[in-house]
Amino acid sequence: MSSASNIVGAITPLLATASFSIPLLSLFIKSKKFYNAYAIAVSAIVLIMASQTFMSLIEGGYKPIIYKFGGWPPPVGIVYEVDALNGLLGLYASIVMFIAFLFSTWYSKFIDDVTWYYTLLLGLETGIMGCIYTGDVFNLFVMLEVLSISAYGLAAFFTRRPTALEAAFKYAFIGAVITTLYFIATVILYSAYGTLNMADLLGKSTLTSSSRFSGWLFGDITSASLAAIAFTLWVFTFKSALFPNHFWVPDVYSAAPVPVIAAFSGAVEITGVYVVARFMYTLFGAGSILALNGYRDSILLVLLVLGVASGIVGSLMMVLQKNAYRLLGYSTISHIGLLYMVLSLGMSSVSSDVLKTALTALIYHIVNFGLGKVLMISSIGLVSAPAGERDLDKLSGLSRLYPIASIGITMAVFQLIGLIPFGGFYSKLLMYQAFISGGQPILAIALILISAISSLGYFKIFYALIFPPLLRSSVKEREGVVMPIVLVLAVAVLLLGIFSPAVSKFIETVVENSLMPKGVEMYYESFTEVLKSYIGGG
Amino acid sequence: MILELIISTLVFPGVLFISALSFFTEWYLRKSVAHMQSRMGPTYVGPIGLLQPFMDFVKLLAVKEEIKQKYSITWLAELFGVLGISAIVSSLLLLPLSPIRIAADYDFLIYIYLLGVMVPITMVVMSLCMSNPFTSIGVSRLLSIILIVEPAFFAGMLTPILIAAYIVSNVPVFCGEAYCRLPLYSIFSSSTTIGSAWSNPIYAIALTIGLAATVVSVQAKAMLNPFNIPEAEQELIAGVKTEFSGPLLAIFNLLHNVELSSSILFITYVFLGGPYPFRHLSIQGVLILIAKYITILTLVAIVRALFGRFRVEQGVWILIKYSLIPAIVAVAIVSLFNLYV
Amino acid sequence: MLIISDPISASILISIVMLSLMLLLYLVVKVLKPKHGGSSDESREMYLGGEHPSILSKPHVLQSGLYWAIVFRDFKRAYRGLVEKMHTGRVIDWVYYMTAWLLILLLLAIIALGISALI
Repeated sequence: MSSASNIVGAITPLLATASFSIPLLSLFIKSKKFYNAYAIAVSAIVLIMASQTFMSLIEGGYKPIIYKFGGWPPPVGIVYEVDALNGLLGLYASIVMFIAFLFSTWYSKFIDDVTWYYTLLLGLETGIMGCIYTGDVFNLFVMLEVLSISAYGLAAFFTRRPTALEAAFKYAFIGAVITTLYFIATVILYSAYGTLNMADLLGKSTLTSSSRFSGWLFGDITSASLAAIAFTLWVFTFKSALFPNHFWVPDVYSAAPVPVIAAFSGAVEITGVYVVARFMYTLFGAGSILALNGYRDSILLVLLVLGVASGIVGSLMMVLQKNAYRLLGYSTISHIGLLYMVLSLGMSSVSSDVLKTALTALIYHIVNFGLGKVLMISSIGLVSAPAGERDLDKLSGLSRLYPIASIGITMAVFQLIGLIPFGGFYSKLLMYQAFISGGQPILAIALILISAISSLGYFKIFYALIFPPLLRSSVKEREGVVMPIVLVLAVAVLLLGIFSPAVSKFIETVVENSLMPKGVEMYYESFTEVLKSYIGGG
Repeated sequence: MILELIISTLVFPGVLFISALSFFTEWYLRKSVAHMQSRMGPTYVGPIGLLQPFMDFVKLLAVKEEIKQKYSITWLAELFGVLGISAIVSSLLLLPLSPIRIAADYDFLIYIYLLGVMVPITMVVMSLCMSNPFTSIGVSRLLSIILIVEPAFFAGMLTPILIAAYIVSNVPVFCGEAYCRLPLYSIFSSSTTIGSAWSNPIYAIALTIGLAATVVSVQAKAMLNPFNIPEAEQELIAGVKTEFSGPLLAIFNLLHNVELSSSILFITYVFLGGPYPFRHLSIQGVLILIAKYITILTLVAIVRALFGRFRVEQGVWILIKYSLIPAIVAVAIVSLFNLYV
Repeated sequence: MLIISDPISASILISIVMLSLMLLLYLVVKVLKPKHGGSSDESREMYLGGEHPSILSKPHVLQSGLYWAIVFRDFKRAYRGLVEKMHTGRVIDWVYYMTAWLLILLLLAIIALGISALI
């Protein structure tokens, strides 16, 4: 048990060190191949560590693992608390980042200065893994900043393209203001609760009623929780691109390097969704101070409406796009809308069985959507990067040159639309189940409308890249490592569907042990256990 | 059990039965529309022209040659056409008509995915395999129709499914030795319980609205007048079907007809209860089933004969007004009624 | 006979039936097709209503023209609103929409606080 908690603590420092040592190494070593190998080695080690953490979590009966940084006890020091949800999403994020790094080794042919690229990408991974594993609200802010700054740098990577610079500047200015607002939220939380630890906040928000610790409005935990949640939700819906905080996505996606787009879709946005789920279900769950006067229910209702709006706006805009990656950006917005639709079914009028189905659908869809999106981006990247073009009209028929790309695009389109027997169908089936049995068939109709409109957008890619006859003979680039990536992802996506009874049962166990009341109890108990071991006795 | 599954899939209600039914449906439509327009319709092949559609199919499949086009991928089009037909045939296993019935909670969603997602995709891929500007424009019109039709069909069919789920969860059914619960949101339970729901006036209103919306959407799905927009002959040569010839055209026509007849069959079961109030294996049951099927078919024929073709933008808005919105209204009526009564 | 199971197994069973039926029917079609022979062995040009293929600049419709009917006729007003009023690309518009969402959140918070203060 303790060896597992040591490994969790090593992930972020390892990544940060690896990232910061690249500029130093670049003074001595200039070879691209070295940095490719270095980056792959680091991300492979992180992948192994994340899977080791998750394995030991399962062996321990999903009891949350706590790692104290520097040995300081929890409310005073920073802890990483890994429960079933963290563990699974951390493993998933490390897999997505590993695939992005693998793809980068092929893509590095088209990048001049690989050292800055890998510094920023490793920094991005640091931020992602830190945000996912952390158990402390302020550490979340720090990791969020690390993530954001790497993201701004990566968005602007092709500094000679005006679209990239414009997108990155807009993203950076708005993002800087927004993450500052999250900092203010943590200040408010600390002033009222006296603690920054997530489990401690969980305990204090449920056990104590609205009591005044000190003074009138300043120390009152009701007003503090309300304000803090308002700011936090705003910030993390920006990070995860929910309408109306979604405007940065299409601009950034249209000009960033291709592996970065894969990392964004598969890992960064998911981090935002994870944090919202963590705040709404663990920290301020159904029995907490936030549920007073129906505030939590109304917030969840607003998130639901915004999820539907996001799905519809994203899929409608998808139909218009000429740039392949911009289209994928809008498709990400649409799927994130679906995730929010199903995440916000935690209202008090909904039974806990329906909630369990909804949260299972959430996590299953995160995995399906992420892997499908990475598959699509890798396949399109294989076609668009050698051609140097991102416009679908100019890429007409080019994927006939790369049969593996055609296969990848086809499988990814089927997965994202949700055809039997791909995994995307089963997660959408769970969503339908949650909506219909939760007494909201209108949401089921909205879901099918969103799927119908977005399938128009996916067909654009399908039609533009595969069907037109290839007229001029183009030079074909060697696929290299992209071929096994596409093949493995295509098979994985199919297997997620074929083995869906087992997969959905497993995810249900994960949800039960993390977001359902039983899991929340375990989260708090691990924390109190660590406290007791310091205070001595019970 | 595997043997019964194979026979169910291949014979009844498998490929042979549904193909025969679709030939009959096509003949009935052509004959009734022709009589409404003072023409004769198919007369010479077989008694009263009954075998005309079948002979057309055989002619295209086995006699006419496939014209090879420079840019086409014929094998992929044939594969997807056959995939569409298989999707529809395998969805027939969900009906009480089939001797080996599959019923599960939420199997309605499986049906919708097979019929509403799989089949349009196969039609689109079939057409896209033939490179031709007219085909591409026909495909874009087809997609714009499908965008509205599939959600409308889903919402329309959802009405009786919701009613049946409410009835099923409140009324115990005696099956064999103990009380069992019929599956929720399933086509099977809807077919067996919807007959009694028509007697409730609120349910009857919602069911009528839903039925009308669904029939309109089936008309559009089958690309019959007034919604035969993707095949607009004067504008697009033959739209989606421009480059099809020989066996490929046979497969496409069969897919189209099988889709139409299976949609009407499902409507007959899910909305009208199939052979209700008689049992399946009785003469009255079979006769009533055929009568209900022909009623809906006649409705479709009347609408086809009455209207000219809508333009693309007209067609989509009319679909929204007369199919999607009434279907959503019907679903809302049913869910509010279930919630508060 | 009735098989009642959970929806996932039902869908897997039905998809196995569907895929095997597809292979079977494809073989049937391949067998029944007339064999190659005669003049139609060489590939023909596209059928363009009697015109020569040289009138086309490209043999296929560009994907940007694929949804012309939807975007510019059916949902013209919706798309004009979406693109010209919402997704203009100007940062200040982003700020307006995002601030509106923040104000909704804060408004709900103030209302909840007001209710708890009154009680």
